[in-house]
Amino acid sequence: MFIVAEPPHAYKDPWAIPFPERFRALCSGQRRVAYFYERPDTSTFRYRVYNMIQVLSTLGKGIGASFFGNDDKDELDRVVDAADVIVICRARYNEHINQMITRAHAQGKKVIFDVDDLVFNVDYAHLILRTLDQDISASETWDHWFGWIGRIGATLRMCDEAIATNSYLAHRIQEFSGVRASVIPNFLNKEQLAVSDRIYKEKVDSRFKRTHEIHVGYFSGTPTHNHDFAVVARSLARVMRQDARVRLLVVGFLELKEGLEAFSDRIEFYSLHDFVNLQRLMSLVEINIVPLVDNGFTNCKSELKYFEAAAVGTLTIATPIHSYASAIAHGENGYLASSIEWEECIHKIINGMDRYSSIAHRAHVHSIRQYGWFNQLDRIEKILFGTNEAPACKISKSTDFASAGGVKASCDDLPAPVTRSM
Amino acid sequence: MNLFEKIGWYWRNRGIAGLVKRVIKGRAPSPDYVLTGHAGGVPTRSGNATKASHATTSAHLLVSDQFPSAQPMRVYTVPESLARLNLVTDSISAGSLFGGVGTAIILATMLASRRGARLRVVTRREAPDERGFAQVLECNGLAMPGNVEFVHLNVADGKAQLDICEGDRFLTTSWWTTASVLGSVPAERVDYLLQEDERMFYPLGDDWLRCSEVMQRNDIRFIINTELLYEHLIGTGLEHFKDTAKWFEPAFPRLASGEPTARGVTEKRKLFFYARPNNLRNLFYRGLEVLDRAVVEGILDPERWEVIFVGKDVPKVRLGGTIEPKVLPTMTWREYGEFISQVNVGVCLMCTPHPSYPPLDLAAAGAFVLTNKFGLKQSLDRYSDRILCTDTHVPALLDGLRAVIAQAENEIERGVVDDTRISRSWENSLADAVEYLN
Repeated sequence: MFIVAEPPHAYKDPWAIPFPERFRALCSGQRRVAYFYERPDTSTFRYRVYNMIQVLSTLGKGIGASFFGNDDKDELDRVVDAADVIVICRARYNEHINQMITRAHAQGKKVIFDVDDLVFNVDYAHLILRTLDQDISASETWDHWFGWIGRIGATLRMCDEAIATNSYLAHRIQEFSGVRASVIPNFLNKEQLAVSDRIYKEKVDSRFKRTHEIHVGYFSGTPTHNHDFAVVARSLARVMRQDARVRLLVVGFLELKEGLEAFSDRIEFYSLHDFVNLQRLMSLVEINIVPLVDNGFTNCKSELKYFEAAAVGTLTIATPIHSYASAIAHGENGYLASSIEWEECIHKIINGMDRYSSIAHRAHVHSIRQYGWFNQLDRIEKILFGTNEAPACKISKSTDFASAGGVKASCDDLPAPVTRSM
Repeated sequence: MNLFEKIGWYWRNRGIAGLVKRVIKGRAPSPDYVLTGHAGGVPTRSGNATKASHATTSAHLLVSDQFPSAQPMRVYTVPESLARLNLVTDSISAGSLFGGVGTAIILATMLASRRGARLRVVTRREAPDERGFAQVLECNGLAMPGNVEFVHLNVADGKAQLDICEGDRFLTTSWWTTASVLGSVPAERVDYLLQEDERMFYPLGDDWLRCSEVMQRNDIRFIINTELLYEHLIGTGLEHFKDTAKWFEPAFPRLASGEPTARGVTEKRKLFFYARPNNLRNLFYRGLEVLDRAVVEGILDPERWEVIFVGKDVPKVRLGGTIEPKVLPTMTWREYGEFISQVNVGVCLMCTPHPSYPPLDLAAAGAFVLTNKFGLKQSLDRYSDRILCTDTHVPALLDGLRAVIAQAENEIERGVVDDTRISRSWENSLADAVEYLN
C-alpha cells in the first residue's frame, strides 16, 4: 500500500443550492443552458451535470449555466423561458418533462438529451437485468425496469440532439431514436483534481513509498456488479494464494466466491465514499481493477475508473471494453486484460514495481490532459451552442408561451452573478 | 383463492424467500390496479401447481428429465449485430481438454479469427476454466482471438439463459449439444464438430435413437475429425455427409508434443497404457490381460521397463506378479506434452473406426504405439510407421507389443528418427474446414 499523508476531508455536497440562487446563475450569462436532472446525486449527476456547469461557469465567457430537477417542477416554465438550451440528463418521462420540452420547442429552443449508460432502449432490458444480476423471476422486476428504461427512452425521443459519454453509446442512441448524438466524455472536476494533485505530488516526492503489502482495489462493490467481479475473482484468488503480500480493498460490498472466501482475513471492505475522499482511497492501492462483462450494455460504460485512479498515480487493469480500450495503451499507461489475462497482468504490475512510477506518470499526464475539467470547454460549448463565441447582449421576444411577458431577460436585467464556484 | 391457497401458491412459485418478501412488503400496485382500480389477475393453478397436485408425472416432463442435456438451450435475443461464434461444449476444465475438446477449441479459435468474429465459450456442465483454454492455444501456437467470453450455461440451472443476436453462430461438439442448440436456433446457424461415431456410445435404445436422428440431419454442416471416421460414417448409413460434411486430419505441433528426443538410454524405458476402465471402448481389461501376459512371458522385462497407466478411476493392480504400474492423475496440457516426450512405447486400444488421439500424440512425440484394428481402421501407416495396428485377440496384441518394444529398443541404440507423416500445423490441417464453414 502506498503511504499517503493526505487526510480524509470533511465533505459536503456542493450542489445543495436553493432554487433562486440556481436560477440567478442561469440568468447570469448571455448564453444560457439549463440542465435538468431528476434529483442530484454523486454519480451521474456529478459527472454529467455538475461538472459541465463547473466548466461553463468558470471558463465560459458570458455563459449562464445551472441545474434544475423534479423538486423545481413549478418553476420549470421560467427556467425554459430564461434558457437558450435545455439539457435533460437521463431523466424519466413525466408530465413536467413533456411540458418542458414542448415549451422549449415552441420557443424554438434546442433540447438535448444527455446519457452515460444504455438505459433508454427496452430491447436491452433483458440483457441489462442479466448483467446486473437482478431477480428476473419476479414480475415486479420487469415492471420496474421496463418502466424505468421506457420512460428514459421516451424522453430521449422527444429531444432534438443527444450527448453520450463515448462513441459506442452515441451509436446506440442514434440507432434507437434517430437523434444525432455527440460525445462529451466524463472528466475530473476541480475538487477531484485539487486533492489528486496534492496526492500525486506527495507520491512522486516520496518516490512512491509503500508498505510491503500490495493492495488490489475494487471500487465498484455493489450487488449489480456481481457478474463483473466474477470475471476476475478466480484469477485474484490464485494470485492471493501465490503471494501472501497481496490484499484486496473493496469499496462497497462483495459476495466472496470463486476461492476468495479463503482469504477473507486479507480483504478489507470500506463503505461508499464521496468523490473527494474516494480519490484518497484510490491513491493508496497499487492496482485498481475494472473487470467487466463484455457485452452491448457494458461497452457503453465510461472509462472513469481509469482516469480517477491515474490522477492519483495508481495503475489500472481493465477489461478492454470500448472505452477502456480507447483510453488505455496496454503497458504504456495501464493494462488491458482479456478474460484470461488477469492473473498475468496483476503479476506484471507486482513484479515490475521498478517501472511503476514511470507508467503511473504517463497515466497521470494523460488523465490530466484528456480528462481535466479545464480542457473541456471547447467541446461542451460547441455542442451546446454551436459556437464558441458569445453573442452581443440583447432583449429577445421569444413566444407567447414565455411566462413573465415572454421576454428573455437582458444582461442588464439580471441579478448579480452567483459568485459561488460550482 | 383463500389465504392458505395463496400462501401455498407463493411458496411453490416464488420460494420461501418470495413468500417472506410478499408478507413483509405487501402487494405492489400493478399497472392493472392503477388503471382500473381492480387487482390484476389472480394466479391460476398451473405449472408447478399442477405438477404438485397430481401424483403422476407428465409424459413431457419425464422425457425432458431423461435427456436434460439435449433440451432446448434457453436463449433470449438482444438487438446486437456483432458477429460471434459460440463454442458449445460440456466442459473445458483440465480433465476434459485432451483430444476432442482441445480440437474444438482450436477449430473455434481459427474459425472466429477467420470470420472476424468474437468467440464465446459456452459450457453446459462444468464452470469454464479459462486457464485451460489459454493453455491449449499456447501449446498449439495459436493466439487468443481477442477477449474471449466464457459462459456457464448450466444444464442443471433452470434459470440460466444465453443472450443471442443475429450475428451468432454455433459450433457444437456432441449430439446432445447440437440437439440443445437446434432446439432454439435455426439450423443454418449451427455447425457440428463430430469426432466420434457417437452412436457407438449407446446400446440400441432411446439414446442411440436420438443420437442417430441428430447425425442424420441434413440441414446442418458437419466437420469430421479424420478421413477414416468420415468414410466409416458414410459407410454406415450417413450418406448425406457427402454433401454436408468436410473432414480434416488433426495436427500435432511440436509445441504440444515436443521434439522427438532420445529416451530410455540410461534409465528405465517407459510404457504408457491408456487406462480408462469406465470408457468401454478403450478395452481396459483386454489391455490389462495383454500386459499381464507380456510380463509373465518376459516380453516386458521389469528390470528394463516401467509401466505407467494414464487415465481415470484406475484400480491398483500388479502385472505378472512383479510390476506395479504407476498411475498418473489428470495432467495439464503442458504436463502431458512433457510426459509423452519421455515415453518409449504406448498401448492404446480403441474400439473405434478412427485412430483416436493417444496413438497419434505418442507417435508425434517419438514413441512406438500398439493399437487395434477396427472396421475401416486396418492400418495407420498413413500417419506414421511408428503405429502398429493388430487384431484385438490376445496373441495378436502380444505379438504387436513384442514388435513395438523391439522397435523402441532398436531406436534407443541407433538414435531418434522423426518418420511420422503426421501434420504439424493446425493452419494446414484445418484450412479446408475453416473455409468450408466460412
